[in-house]
Amino acid sequence: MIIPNALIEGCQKKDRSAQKRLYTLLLPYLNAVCGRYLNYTEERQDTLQEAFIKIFTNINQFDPSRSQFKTWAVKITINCCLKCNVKAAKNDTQEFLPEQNSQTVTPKVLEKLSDEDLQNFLKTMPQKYYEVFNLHIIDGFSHKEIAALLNIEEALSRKRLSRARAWLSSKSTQVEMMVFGVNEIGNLN
Amino acid sequence: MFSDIERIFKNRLKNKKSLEGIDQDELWGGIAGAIESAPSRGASSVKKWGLLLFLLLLASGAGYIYLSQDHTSTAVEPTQKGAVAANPVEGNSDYDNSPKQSTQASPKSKIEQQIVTKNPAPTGNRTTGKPDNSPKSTNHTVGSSNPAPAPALSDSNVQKEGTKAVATGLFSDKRPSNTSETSADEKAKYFVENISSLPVTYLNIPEAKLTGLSYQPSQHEKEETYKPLLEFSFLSGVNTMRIIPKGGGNLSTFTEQLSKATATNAGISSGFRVAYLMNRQLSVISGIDYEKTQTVFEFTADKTAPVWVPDHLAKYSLDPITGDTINAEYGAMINQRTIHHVLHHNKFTSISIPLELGYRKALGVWTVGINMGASYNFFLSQKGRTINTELDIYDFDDKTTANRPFRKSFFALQLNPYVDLRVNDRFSIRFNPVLKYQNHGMSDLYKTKQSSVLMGLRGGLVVRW
Repeated sequence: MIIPNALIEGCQKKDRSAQKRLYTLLLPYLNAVCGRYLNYTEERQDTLQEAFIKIFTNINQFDPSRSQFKTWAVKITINCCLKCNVKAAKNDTQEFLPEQNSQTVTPKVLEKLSDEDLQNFLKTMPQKYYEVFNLHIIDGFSHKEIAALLNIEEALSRKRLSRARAWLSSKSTQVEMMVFGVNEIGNLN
Repeated sequence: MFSDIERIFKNRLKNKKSLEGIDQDELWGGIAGAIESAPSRGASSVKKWGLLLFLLLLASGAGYIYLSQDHTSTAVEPTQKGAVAANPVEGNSDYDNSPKQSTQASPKSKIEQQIVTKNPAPTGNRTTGKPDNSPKSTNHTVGSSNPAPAPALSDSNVQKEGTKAVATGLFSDKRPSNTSETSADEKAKYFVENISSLPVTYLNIPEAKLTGLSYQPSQHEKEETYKPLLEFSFLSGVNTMRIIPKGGGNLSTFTEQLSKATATNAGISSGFRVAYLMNRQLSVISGIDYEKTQTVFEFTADKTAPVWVPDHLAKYSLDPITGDTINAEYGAMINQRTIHHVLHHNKFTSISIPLELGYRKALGVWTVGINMGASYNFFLSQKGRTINTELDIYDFDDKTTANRPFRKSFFALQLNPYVDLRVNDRFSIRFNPVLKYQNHGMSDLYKTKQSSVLMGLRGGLVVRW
């Protein structure tokens, strides 16, 4: 998706109709980003609102020579999500989530799953590994950027990624056994 | 293998679009409202300068009060007056060149003791309020800062003019220098000459006592001690808020559930108070308090509703030959039981403007007192989770939701007993338990009246001017 420059300029001039149009264009993407990054689903609307407010109030700082607008907006949203997670953790917010069944995964199985299922499957990964996996594998952030975003060492980011991969590997081993040993793969939550 | 899996995740999730779980119109309403009300850089600059100006005015006012207090209140310490009473000057003595020990650090003559006692400050005439305009002046400063011995004065050195005995020159800034090297005659001559032109009333010496030059301070003067007019206190501490929902009839189940789900938690409070001291006991107090209160919301919503089988609950079966998915359970309706357990810390911040009447009693270095009154309060923010009347978990926030547990503004009655530990005339340390009954009125969210009790303990510094 490419955001037209005229739309960005309209938003920079605080044109309300341009802002609404940009909101409509970005919302599905940013909502999906929130879905991936937020640990607390109840915070989704608040976090999105905060992200959009930041986007609109700081739109004059957007530099087209450095990145695409969507990338810039996604980065702001990810930042808001990570902050929200930290804040909610500090508040001791806890939500009961039904325990997921043990899952098995191979590329073939993954392709059969819906996007929602994929996301839910990934979220069963330990949270710290999941954050790094999400940032590095899906959103393409470098370890240096991840280190800055999560306020951790670059080496720790690499370590968490390798652990996330190990976690996936363990699931993969299970699926190999399931596929070759049993026809029904089982419940895929 | 991993790279394949990672590729699948990336391709499927990176550009994923979703409008699930949000209300687009409500969200846009919140964003548009926030952008509209977001202060511009100019406005924030004006706010900053306004605040600076306010602080400057506050500092100027405080400075003015301080300076005016400094001029109007006497600097005579009670102990110095005590020195007068304890050491009345005895009359009928001739010049005495030998230094005598007084309550002052340096040896002084009797007459100088009186002078010093009456006028400990260099300018020396605050008690009478008269300007220091004695007609004659010599080269010595009279006051406690001068350790040199001075000659005593006998009755013969005071002349009477009807009712006006004169003693001019006692308050003059100057007298012969280096008294230790000046002869006794010169000293005597200096005092006689200078005293001779000053009305004794200037010294406030009762005529009846003039013979002995003994001086007894009046009752008024005895009571004239350090009298502050204003008292500023800066207090901070912890608080807890207990919410009391008032709902009967159909709402009783709801209020019962709400009470059960809401527990108190520690918050913080800080405040600045100004007390106008009407007299030794009574004062009128106002100021501003900032309260950040917290409650813990813990609730389990257990609901069952018929739903279509969601994707993530559907059972997949793979064809062993083709590898295709065989999904036999799509399209079915099932009873879905949802258990939603939430533990959340709700936060409320508010400002309180009190008006109180205070009573105090001094007990040595301790002062105990109590302030009672009412306050106008308004919430700065309310954020957290609660339940609505349908017993659904409800997120509330000033920015995004129209309904909140409490109304924006409310009145409260408060009781503030305190204990002050006096450090000196100007400073005290205060310990202040707080009890506040807050009437929140009808809640938009709960559709029932509410009140709360806020309890706390604060400590801080008290400054008197």
